[in-house]
Amino acid sequence: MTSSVTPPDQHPQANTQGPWIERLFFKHRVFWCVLFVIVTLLLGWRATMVKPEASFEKLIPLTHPYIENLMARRDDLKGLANSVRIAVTVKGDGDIFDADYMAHLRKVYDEVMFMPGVDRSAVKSLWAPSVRWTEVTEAGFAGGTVIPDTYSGDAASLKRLRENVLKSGQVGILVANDFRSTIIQAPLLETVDGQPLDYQAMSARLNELRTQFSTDQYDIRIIGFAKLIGDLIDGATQVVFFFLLAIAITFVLLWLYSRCLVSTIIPLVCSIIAVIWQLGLLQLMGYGLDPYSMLVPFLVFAIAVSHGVQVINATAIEAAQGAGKMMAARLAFRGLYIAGMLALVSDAIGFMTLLFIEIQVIQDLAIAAALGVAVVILTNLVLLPILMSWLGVSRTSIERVDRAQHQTSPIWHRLSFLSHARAAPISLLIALGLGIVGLYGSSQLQIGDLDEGAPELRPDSQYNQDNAYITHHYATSADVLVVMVTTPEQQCVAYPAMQMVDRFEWMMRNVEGVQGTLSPVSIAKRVIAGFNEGSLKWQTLSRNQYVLNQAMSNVPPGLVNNRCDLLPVILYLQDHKAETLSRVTHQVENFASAHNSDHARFMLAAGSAGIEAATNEEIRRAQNFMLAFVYAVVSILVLVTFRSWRAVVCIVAPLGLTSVLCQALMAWLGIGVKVATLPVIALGVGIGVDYGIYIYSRLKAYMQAGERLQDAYYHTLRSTGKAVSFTGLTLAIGVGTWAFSPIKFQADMGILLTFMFLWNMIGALWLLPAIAHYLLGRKQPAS
Amino acid sequence: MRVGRRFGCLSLLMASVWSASSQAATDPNSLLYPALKAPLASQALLLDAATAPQRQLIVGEHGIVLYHDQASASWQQADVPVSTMLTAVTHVADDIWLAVGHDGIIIRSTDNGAHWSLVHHEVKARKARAQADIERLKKEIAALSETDAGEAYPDEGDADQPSLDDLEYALDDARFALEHNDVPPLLDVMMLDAQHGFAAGGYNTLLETHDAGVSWQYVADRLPNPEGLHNNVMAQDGQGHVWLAGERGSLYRSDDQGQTWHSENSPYTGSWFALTALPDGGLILAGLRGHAYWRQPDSETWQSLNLPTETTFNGAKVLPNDQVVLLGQGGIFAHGVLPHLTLSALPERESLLTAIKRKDQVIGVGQGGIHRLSFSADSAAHQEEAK
Repeated sequence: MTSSVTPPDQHPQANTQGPWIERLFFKHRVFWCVLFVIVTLLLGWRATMVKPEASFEKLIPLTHPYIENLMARRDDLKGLANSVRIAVTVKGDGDIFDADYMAHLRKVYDEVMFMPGVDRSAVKSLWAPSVRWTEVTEAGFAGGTVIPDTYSGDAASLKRLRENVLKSGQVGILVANDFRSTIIQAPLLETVDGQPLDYQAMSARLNELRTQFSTDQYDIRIIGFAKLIGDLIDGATQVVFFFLLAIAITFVLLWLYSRCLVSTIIPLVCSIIAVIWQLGLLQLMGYGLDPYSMLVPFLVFAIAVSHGVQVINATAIEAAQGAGKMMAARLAFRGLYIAGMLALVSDAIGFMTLLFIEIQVIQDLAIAAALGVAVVILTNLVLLPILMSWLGVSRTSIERVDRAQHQTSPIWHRLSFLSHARAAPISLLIALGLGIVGLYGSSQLQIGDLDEGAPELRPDSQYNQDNAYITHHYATSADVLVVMVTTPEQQCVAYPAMQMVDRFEWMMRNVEGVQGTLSPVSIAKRVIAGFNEGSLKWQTLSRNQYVLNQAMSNVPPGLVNNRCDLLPVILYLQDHKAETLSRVTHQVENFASAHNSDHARFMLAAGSAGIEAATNEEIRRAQNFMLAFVYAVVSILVLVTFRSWRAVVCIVAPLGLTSVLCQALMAWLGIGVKVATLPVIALGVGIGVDYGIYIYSRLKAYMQAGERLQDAYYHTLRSTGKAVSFTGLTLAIGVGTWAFSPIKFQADMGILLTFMFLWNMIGALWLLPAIAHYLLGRKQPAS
Repeated sequence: MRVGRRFGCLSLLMASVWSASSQAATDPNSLLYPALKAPLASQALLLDAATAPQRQLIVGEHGIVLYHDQASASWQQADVPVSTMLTAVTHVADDIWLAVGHDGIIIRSTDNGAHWSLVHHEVKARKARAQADIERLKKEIAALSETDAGEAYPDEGDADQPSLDDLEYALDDARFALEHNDVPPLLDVMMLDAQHGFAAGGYNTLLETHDAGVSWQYVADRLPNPEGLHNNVMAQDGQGHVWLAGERGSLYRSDDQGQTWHSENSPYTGSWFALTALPDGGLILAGLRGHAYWRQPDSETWQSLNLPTETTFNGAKVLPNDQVVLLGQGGIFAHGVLPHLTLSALPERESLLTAIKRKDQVIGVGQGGIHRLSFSADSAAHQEEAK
């Protein structure tokens, strides 16, 4: 790619030839338009078939050893996962030992039992016959269902119920610690009538259950993976509304900017076409839209609009200087296609660096975004000027531009002093200060999710409120790390394996951040005590294999697999902060390397926290590498284009400041580096480079034409500064609407991208000239 | 039912499991790990406590020993060479303490509980005994076979003389013991004086020491316990009688410092877990399903305390001012001056095994470690002063 930016002030009116690429498009305008219409119709038809999806596997780093271990053992761990928990709570005073409450609970229980997708045989509730109380008698065990057979709702049977509940050991599990709610635990089936379980439909059924049984007296609270995924998809589809909002705001801004209907509608239409193409191509390539890649249409739209504005702006300037419709469009194309393509290609390559992160949603997002940006080259750098060559910029608009061109713009004039010898050092000092503040701030940056509950949703969402209620009233945590202890086949009951697991559990129980542990071994120990008349002095492992076999045969199904070669150790964690996760996984790995033997191998990791730990590690690994790569790519592109290291510094340094400040902002807002926010930095750099490229190419052209730095910068600002600032605004608004998404990570992405787009713009307008002062200003122009 | 099917096949494979585990466990010492120094040691399952004038000790699972002198404010975890469950602890004399536990472990401290060393490992001791038994039995069998071969009709009526079959059974048992590491746990330890004491355990285990706990002899055959019931708890009453109570109402008494024992009439046929001497020389005995009795020093009968509970009592302790506290499953405890005990329960419902007095507090020990019991260490009449 060689630099051949036409100095905009030299008007080669006579030269109607232009480069070959210009001739290719403008000589056959009708052909190209018809082709665009056909392709748009075809891809539009495919775009309607794009389905929203939320695949669990795409969210996790499948090549991480933790996840490889998990996937290898997935079938054996089925019993641990997928169930929903429905808490029926008492709203006012009083407790669950009440005839009304029990009757209400019975109704909810019956409803849950008949819900499709629920594994009826495994449903647990006070009303379930499988939930029993036991006590030790002289003859062995005695026991019965928690709700006595003679239950009638009268005071005596409620008293019996209370005693049975205390004896059942379900307080903290099915019965809240404060006796003001109980849980119906409904394990879900993997398939219903041969079809995989539809989480969205399941979630909808649960919502119906909630509305049906929430009354003045009783509340329903529901948590579980199925509900979470359902809420996520529901929330993500609201994003369509944000898209319409972004279009409307952009329309208004474009109108204010150009005061010309054609100049408003054409870029909008071209940008929407870009989105349609992008979605259609994605569908053709077999991709769906997950809650992460839903960001991409917004980005594509915003990028398309910003390039569209550059074209419109250039067309209007050319028209104001007397070019006809055709000529204005051609000159605008000629002036912009290299800078525009360079900017878009660097966007695309910036996005492609995300492919280094081995998490499929991020890779999908990279492909979708790169594809979208490639499409923008065609729609907004080719189609848009072609359309403008027919429609032209309206007279009023041209006059406005013309007027502006001949007046001294006070704002731009003042801004041009940023390249002055007085202002430049101050700017640099401020930038340095900000950089130091940013570096300090970004050192506080954390990996992973920082909020309580389900980090995908907002802390005040219904799901997270329900989750908080249940974790506070029951002895459970939503953050679960499962360590898989593998043994030789049929040897999971062997003493050496169980003894090692017992040691491991006790060690982990003492690690900060671990609230509690559960494993077949800890249950077996309780069973052994049970078989010894409940005596706690026997609540330990026996070296007698018969005792262990008998104890393990009483461990609930699902905790031990059929081949008896896997003992899951469930660690309930205090939170899912990266610090906690890495502390805990570090301890596990230490134990494993010291104690792994043929009897028992300790492997990470399953459970929500296990997956998160793996994701965090992948992100930690990829983060700096990706950042280095995206900067390297952008620098090389700039270097190749402008053939000047000075250009690289002028363009890349402001981006670096933005990246650092963005990290500081993340630390300040408590947003961690995670699947959702990691791409933001690459996207921000990729898109942010546009401004620098547009401004630098103009500046360079004016300076080559013999102007002093400050004059050149003034002219740059006048010609392209307005477009650049407008671009920053439209980009920011396009993704800024995301800040209102009900999905937390979408909101985080929105906030951070908005910040990056605005700061990249400020960096390009303010810092670039200051740096240019030192790198370009001293070199007096040749003239 | 799924469980049954899953593990049904296991029993078939047990032989292979068995050999694998016993191969790995040929050296019992390799199975002893030092106790982990754990920040949450005071919240583990703690099983017994003992008090000496300047020191208190608590023992529990994972080889946990906690010590506490009267001055310091918090419990310290001792250095313990084993991580097996410790079930009982007792003060011997001066700075010497003993603790017993699973695997037939006995550990001893000579520095007032801070550091411990292993003095007895029943897994090893039983193997040594088995080795000696095998030698002896082989000789006896050989000798008996010779005499049998000489006699056409062996004298079957001689009760003192074991038959060849008996000897061969005993030999099989000894060989089995030599191959396997599963020994019954020790459940209680008691010193009669500074030198002489006993450790009792599951499946009729009884060990004796005459050297302040340094060495131990297996003396289980002194007890009239042919069924091999668990020996759960021991105590010495005011008259110097030594008592031992255990599984299924077993109750024995020795009037000669544990040399010979006889069965006593038990007021209940369920298991006993609690037996403690009272300040007046009497005894309190309690166990399964809320059964609790006391015996006055001059009485030959046990009187029921008639406590309105069916919850098992795990331990009994005498506190200053003649207060007695019984501790049980699900956090229940009965306290007061005999024979009038009142029932209460820990709000967290965690089972208790014993209690100790610490300053003005009574501390319950059990599941979840250390709990403050909601009554004062002084008698009810002095409660206000105590505050």
